Amino acid sequence: MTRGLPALFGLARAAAPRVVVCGVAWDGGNGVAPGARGAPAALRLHAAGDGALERALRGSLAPLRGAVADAGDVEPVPGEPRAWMDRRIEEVCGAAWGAGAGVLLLGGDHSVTHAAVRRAGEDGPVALLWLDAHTDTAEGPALTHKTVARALLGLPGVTALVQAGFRGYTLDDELGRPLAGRTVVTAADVRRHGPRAVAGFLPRGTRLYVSVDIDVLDPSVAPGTATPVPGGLTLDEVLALLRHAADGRRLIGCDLVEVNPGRDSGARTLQAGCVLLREAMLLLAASGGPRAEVNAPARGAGARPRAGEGAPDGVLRDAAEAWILEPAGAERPPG
Amino acid sequence: MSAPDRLVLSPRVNVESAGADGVVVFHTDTASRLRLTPALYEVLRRFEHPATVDEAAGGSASPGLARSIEALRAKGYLLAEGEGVGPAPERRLATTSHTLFQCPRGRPGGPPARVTVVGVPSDLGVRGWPGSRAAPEEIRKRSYDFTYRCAAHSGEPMGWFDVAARRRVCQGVSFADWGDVWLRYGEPLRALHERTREVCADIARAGSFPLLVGGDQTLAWGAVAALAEREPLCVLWLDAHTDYDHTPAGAAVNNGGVARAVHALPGVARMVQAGHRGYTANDKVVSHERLEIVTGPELARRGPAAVVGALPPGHPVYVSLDINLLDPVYAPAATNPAPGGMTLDALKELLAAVGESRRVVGMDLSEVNPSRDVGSITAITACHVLLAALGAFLPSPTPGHANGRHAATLE
Repeated sequence: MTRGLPALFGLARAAAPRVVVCGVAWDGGNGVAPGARGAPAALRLHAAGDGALERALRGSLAPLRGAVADAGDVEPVPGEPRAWMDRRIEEVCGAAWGAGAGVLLLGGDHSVTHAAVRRAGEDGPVALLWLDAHTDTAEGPALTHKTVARALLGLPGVTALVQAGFRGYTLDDELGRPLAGRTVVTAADVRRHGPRAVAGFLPRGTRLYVSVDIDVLDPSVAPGTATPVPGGLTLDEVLALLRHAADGRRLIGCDLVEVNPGRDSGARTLQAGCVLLREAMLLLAASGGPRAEVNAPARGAGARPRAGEGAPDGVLRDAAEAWILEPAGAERPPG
Repeated sequence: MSAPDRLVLSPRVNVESAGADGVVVFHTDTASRLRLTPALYEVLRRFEHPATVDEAAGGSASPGLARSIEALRAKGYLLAEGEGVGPAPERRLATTSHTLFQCPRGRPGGPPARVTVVGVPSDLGVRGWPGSRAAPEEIRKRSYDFTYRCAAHSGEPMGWFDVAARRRVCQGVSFADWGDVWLRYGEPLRALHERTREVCADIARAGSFPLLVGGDQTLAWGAVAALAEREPLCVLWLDAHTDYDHTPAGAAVNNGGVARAVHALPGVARMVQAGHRGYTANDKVVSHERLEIVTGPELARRGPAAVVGALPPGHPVYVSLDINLLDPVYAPAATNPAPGGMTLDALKELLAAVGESRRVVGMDLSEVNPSRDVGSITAITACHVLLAALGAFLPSPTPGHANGRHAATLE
């Protein structure tokens, strides 16, 4: 293991893994608040900790023993251009997908997602679920954590981008600059319509990559991030989004980015991060493996679709840009 | 100035910076700055002891040098010998290093903006934890994520995009930040409250909307005193506590009794309080004819209508908002946090309902205590609350009549 760090959740050596874990200690895509480079190490150490939660998470992953390989961290060499690091990410992802395994990336700032998705698009169509307080679609010449989503939309193979959790106040974006192929669901709309409806905007039966910016969570759950925004989602809502997205799609990759341990308070961001990583690992393992095609229905109560619920699958894929519309008539609790 | 008069350097002049491109001198009475050439600065230095212009110039002064010295004399950098300086003038405002939302700075008597921002960096009216004195600066710093911008072609303020409401707020609404109310440590607290009142009176005279950022909530006294003098108004007090203690005779108002003091001001027709909750030792205030208290649980049950219905339709409204109205989940760094508070969504809904049906003429936000914050979340939340409130209270001017710089008047 890199630098003597423990493997994530103690799951390291698998000859034919269903999940490959890889850290990317890079925060050069964030020009304002460095620190996300420390997240892979901090998450690994926290996941190896003696807390009741961490022990329980490891215990629940016991069935994955022998099914996970930890590739260690991609550690960019100071002074090297980011292309060097991006190549390493593509190598790790390419090898994993070639063997039918899923990839779990630990960022790093959000720009690390680019290399993984580019590699995924080379293998065929892939849909993206983007959980984030921001849309990361700024215009700019450089690949940064603010421009990465816009860059991804132009990549071959990327068929859909569903962004959920957007909120707050912004300067001059978003509605005025439609982006083909993108669907935006605000945090308020996630709360209003529920995670299942959001997942319904992803095409079914497709390969799926999920990128989780930890700032999709409310700052009370995850304060340790570069740009926290009040009014975020709960941990339960994000977990449900992951499960519903993986349901009926082949989850090939997932990343957790923008954890900034230096800005954490009482390790609560690392805790939330570990809970998300555990869920992602289980979903990837269920999707992965040499013969995996499309994921089986998600486990657990409430995961089975009910008739008439959720948005029609992929209905807005071809729209210029779509926002989930409010249902007619404001809904106030009675009384 | 006749030639043989002797001049002397004013004791109120400091050097702020010096470099190859000149020397910046600063006058502490007027807060003015001048950039001098090194040569002129050398001449100025020779007035440390009384000297005539020719003496300081080391010979007959050129007409250009004489004009420069006359200008320094006119601006008070040089004094006639024996003229002396009076007591430092009373200052009402201090310049801050940041402005709210990075909006332009303004000053009393300058071109009026629709919203005038003033910080009140005092927590001397707090009986509990101090620390909110740092909030105006911290909130201003955090507000740089929400930059105030004007369109290049029209100069019209662009406002902000409210993601949840999916619309622009404050479009065409101009902002100016006057800095902080001057705080002289050691003076009686009453003097600060009085100064806050004078500054707010200036803002109101300019037809601008005062937005005060505390500090502690005693800032509301000055704002309401200034505004209620102009027209009778109602005060909407948003707070986890009623702040309705009696102030001991002769004492300055503190943040436990400021609502009672505000309520007692002439011109305050009615006070509506919302958000009161928790357990109190002796806070047994009940609603009466001029005071309506909508508790937090009642507000959650009945929604914004409970508050709006209690505000008489005819009166303008002043809104005083203690950040502890919000649940500590959203605002952990309140001076006096209380569990069971409002969600950010519910607060936005309440502000929208008030702005929709009542004319709001001023507001304050107070009691953020940055020293107790977690990753600046409370300060960031405060920025969101300000944008939500201003978006609700100040509808964008009608297109065609929008004029960023001069869309100033309230009525």
